[in-house]
Amino acid sequence: MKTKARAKAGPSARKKTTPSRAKVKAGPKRVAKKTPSRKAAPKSTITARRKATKTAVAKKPAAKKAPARVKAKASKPARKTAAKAPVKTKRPAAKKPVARATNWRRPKVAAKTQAKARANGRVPEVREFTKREAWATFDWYARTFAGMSGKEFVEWWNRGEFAKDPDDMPGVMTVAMKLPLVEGW
Amino acid sequence: MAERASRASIRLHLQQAQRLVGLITDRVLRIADQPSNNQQLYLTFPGLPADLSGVRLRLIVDEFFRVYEFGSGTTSRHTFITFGYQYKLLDAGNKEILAYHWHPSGPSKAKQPHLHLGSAAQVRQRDLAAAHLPTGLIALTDMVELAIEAFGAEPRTSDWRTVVAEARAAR
Repeated sequence: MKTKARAKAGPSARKKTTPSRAKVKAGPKRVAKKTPSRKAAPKSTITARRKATKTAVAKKPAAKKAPARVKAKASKPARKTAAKAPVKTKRPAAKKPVARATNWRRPKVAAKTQAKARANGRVPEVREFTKREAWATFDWYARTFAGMSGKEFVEWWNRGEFAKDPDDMPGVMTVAMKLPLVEGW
Repeated sequence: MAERASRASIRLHLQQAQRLVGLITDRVLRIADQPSNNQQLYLTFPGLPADLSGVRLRLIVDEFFRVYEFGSGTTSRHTFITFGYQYKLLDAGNKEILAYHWHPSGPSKAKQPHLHLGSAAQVRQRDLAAAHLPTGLIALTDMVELAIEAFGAEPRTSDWRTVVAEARAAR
């Protein structure tokens, strides 16, 4: 008998303890009710009305805080950005200029035509450098073999700051032979 | 007409160079024009050094040449004359094994074609490692042949010997 009674009481007890979705949604409304409104103020006297409006104005920020829904909506995108932010900040941590140079990519169009040519058993066409390609190539060589950017290398070379005979420094000579790539653009 | 003919002959020359290089790598050469330097043309790989097929080695090619026209009209003939080069063989870590250089113009004292043995060649004697070992003029054909025969690069076609021979004959 007792068990039957418990079983009968079970769902009702649950209903009491766990608030339904509708109740949760209604939550902010309850809080809003607590704040004094114009309707709540006594209509009898003007002074009483004024007092009520003053208190309402004073408590307005509190009333704004009350709607949790609005707050949650506003906070959601903030959380998302906060979660993504460290990923964005981590990316630049990897050495950017080197990555640029090493992640050199063939132009898509050229790659496609080259692949077609290979597939047909033809020799791929030798094309002219673009300015971007030329600088990217030169920059990679300067960073890899001389430990400086391409622009720095050109500046150093023009100032004559390398050793008297650059051929004694194999890395420098490797890059120096590439100088025509960036001259005359 | 002369311009067209020179363009056509340049294209042929470049095609031949690409055919040669295509024996040991899938990379495609690019050309840069140097109008300021007597119309000198500069041939190299774009981006990183070219990975050789079948071995963990890389190749750098820098070739400078000019086109000269001999004769006139229909009997004109174009000749390509090399004015400098750098053929360099690197290991997978971009360390130099050997480098064939010829840079007749420029600040370097070594104006004759020469060979450098790099750090990856592991030469113990310092003088030898720093020396400019004199050589004759080296061509791209020689470098390709060396890469296949001495360094184990896998030729991408079975008739590589005929390709090399044809390129040599055309020089």
